[in-house]
Amino acid sequence: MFNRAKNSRDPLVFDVFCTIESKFPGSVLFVNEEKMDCFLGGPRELDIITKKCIIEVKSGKKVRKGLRQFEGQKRYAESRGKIHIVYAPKMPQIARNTYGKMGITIVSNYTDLINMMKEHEK
Amino acid sequence: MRDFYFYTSRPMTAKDCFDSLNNEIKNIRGTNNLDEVQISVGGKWRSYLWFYNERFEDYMNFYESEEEFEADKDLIPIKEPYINFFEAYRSVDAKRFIAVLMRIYPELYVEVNEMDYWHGTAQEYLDTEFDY
Repeated sequence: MFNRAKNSRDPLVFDVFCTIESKFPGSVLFVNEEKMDCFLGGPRELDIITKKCIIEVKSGKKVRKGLRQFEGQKRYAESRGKIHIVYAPKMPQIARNTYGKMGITIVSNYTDLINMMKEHEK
Repeated sequence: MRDFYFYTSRPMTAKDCFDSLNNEIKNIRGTNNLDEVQISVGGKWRSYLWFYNERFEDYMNFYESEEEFEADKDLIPIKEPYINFFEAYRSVDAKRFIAVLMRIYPELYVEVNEMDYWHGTAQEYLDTEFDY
């Protein structure tokens, strides 16, 4: 799993993977895994799947509406008994608030990510 | 994967894109209903093209102010563009998609919304060397 994360060509995904594994060793089940599901709207790669969470990693600073993407991931996560978190360190606060009102959980730092996961990764 | 946004002056249609891409690239898959989302190419380094055809006004609530919103719109040289979403790992794959799509949408404008933010015309993207 470490090699898959390291070779993912997405340095932030690797960074998130390392952070999660350092706090919850062995919890990451998949990295950049393609899943197919009606909730996802077709085959879709999910960045990080742990025992209890599906984490989408967004490194961009521009806000373009990924709501359909996030909603599909969230429904998929919930159908699997997991929670859905978007890790977006550069997303502006107002965008995070707007997504929050739409029911999408977005965190912007590792402390918040780990704290959110702590409640579930036991 | 890297997030790309494609800007066009008219809606992108899954069928037009699929037909053109399918002639040029192996392992293209579309959804059963090609008017819906997603064309994807398989293999080790997957790419996905989603057909949302959103407008800038859809994003207004994500900006602190109208000035900020207008400034962001001004970055894109297409007036009232349609915005679609593309994901890819490698620039070589993005270039394969863009080279085909710009024949259908010659005004295509590309934005790479990642840590290494970039935006430019489709041809500028093809002419630029990226390290991914």
